[in-house]
Amino acid sequence: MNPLRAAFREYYALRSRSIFVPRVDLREIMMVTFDGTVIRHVSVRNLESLRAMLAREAPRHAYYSVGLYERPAAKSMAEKGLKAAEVLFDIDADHLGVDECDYGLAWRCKSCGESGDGPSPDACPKCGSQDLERLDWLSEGCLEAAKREAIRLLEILESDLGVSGEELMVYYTGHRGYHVRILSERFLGLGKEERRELASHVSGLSFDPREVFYVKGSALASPRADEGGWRGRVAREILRLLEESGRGKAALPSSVAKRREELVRALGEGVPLINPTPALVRDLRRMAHEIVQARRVKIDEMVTPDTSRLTRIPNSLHGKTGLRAMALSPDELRDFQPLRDAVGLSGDQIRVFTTAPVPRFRVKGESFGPYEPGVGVDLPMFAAALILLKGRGVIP
Amino acid sequence: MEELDPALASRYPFTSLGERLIESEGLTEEDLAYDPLLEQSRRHAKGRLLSAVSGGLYLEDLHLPPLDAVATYLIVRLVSSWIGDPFLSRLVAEHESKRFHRLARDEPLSVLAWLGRELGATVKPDGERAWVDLPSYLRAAAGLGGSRWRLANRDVRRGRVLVERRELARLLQELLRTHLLRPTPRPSLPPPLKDIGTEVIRRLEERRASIQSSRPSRQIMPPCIEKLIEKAERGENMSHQERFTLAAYLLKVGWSVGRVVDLFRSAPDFKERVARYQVSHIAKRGYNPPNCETLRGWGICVEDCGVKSPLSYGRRGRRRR
Repeated sequence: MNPLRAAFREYYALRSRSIFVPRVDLREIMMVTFDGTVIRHVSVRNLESLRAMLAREAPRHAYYSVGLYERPAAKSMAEKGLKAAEVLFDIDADHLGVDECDYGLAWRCKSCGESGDGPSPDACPKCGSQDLERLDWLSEGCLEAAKREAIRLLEILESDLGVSGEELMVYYTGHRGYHVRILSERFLGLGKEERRELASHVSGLSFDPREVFYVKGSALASPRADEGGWRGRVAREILRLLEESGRGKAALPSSVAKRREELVRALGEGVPLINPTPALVRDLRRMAHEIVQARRVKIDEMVTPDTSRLTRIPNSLHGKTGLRAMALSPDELRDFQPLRDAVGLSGDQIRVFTTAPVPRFRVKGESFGPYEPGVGVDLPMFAAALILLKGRGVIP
Repeated sequence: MEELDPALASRYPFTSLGERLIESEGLTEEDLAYDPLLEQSRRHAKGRLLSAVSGGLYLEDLHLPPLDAVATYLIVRLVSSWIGDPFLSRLVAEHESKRFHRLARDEPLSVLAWLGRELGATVKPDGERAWVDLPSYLRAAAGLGGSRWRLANRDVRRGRVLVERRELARLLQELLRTHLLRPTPRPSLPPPLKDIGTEVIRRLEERRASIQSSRPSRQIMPPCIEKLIEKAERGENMSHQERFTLAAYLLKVGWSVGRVVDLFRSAPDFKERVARYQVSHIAKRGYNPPNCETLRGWGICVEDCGVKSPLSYGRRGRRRR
């Protein structure tokens, strides 16, 4: 057996107690094996059979549905009979536009095997082929950015939606992101449109500054600091900026600075500001827009409305990293470092031949690399797995 | 809970007040069909159904005593379920919920809160305004156009959304509309009620025929626009943003104002004059359809097709044609 798959199997044998899926009998389970076979429309009766199945198959990837079905093993969505679905939010570092996520980027030519650092060139410099493979890597900075996003999401879910603690399931995907599911009964029956609305709320996409600052009669309609949602966040942030500018710490547009005292009363206590100038309204809207842009949660908003999605089984291994898709409590999330805490594979030594450049990296507190292509190195399984699964090395 | 005025059953026959009345009077389908005292209920039910089909608003039965009002409502529902045509169901749901809104918009907050609970929402009055539980708010507002309904522009705290009294009435209209759209088993009807149904079917077919269903050959269109066209053709309720996006897109790819207006003809609330005015206005101003980011925000985007504006989708394909 492929030593990597053997390592996965060992993990599932030793750590099977950590595998859990709530209401597992109503879920569709999907697996991708190490030879690339996709096994879909599987259902299990209970957690024990799920754990046994994972230990037996040792799949490369293992997923479960957000949907709860009458007949989870049926082949089509219509036959499955959707009873309810958890609300899913997906945070993927690839969507964050963070430079750190390009760390260790490399490419390899599929025709001649040539490889190099950085983004893929248009054609292979050695053989001219355009069939190049882009190879990404994991970096702490990139993972940290995704985590910050997840923490902000949890804050909004608690303050706006009123869901927290037991009603949520948060987990690291095992790769470059986080998944958050709302388990709470009252959200389970929401339709596609309602889920879309939630997605565009947390991502701030449907925020419209003109709905928040406008002229009503001769007064300025404005949000108040004690309001909830984006209105409250905008009001509190502008108040903070007004206070800072009072202490000479923040520069404000002159239209806003001129009416500082009145704005403090309007945003703080709801005392109407009379006769706002057009410039004031425009500048406040611009500030509101910027505040929301800076604080919005960059989820993949196509994922949330889709009730037929599957995500990784909590504490299963990710087939692109060998890391655990770790379920986390909100407190655990704060100090969580995937490359330190989500290691599931053993430290047994294994020899790996690199087929592309490997950047310097740290796993479980140990530093590795950088390695040139074409060298043999002896590594603990958890570090070797990253190189192998990221397509930058082979077992000789 | 405070004592409710039994007369509320006249205005809101779908509530538990209405149900209790049916029970206490022991009202049966036979009564609805044959009881001479319910003759005016049968007449008004037919009027309401035909009004729904023609896109009007039937208000002639507002004075009915509770039992007759409840009977009228029951006949409307029975006949509509018996016909079992999804297009008719949408027209009836639209008509009944509009009629509801006409009455509810002037009710005090306490009555609206009760109506909200009847429709499955948790509504807590707070001064001049009220808190609505978030899932119910979402169910109602998801079908409403206009950025003021978007959650991101509202005061939303710990799973509750603050709304004005008038907004609450509008949200309840939507909740009733979706409630009425829930599928019901097809009943068997006594002949007098079938006769009403037959007349409604005849008018429904006339309306369908007047909708020019022939659609000239299609260009290559992005998935979001395809979906909007389907929605329009099926006569589903569309948000303002959806209508705007569809009209602006089609005008930009060369459809005439008339052809775009025709597409909206199946809409349950279609009004020729209003639709023509709005579409011409978009044409005159030359508005572009919103870009993909905006469409994502509005929840109109259905998949990432790799373009930034619906207009750039399949450019090459379109030119080839």
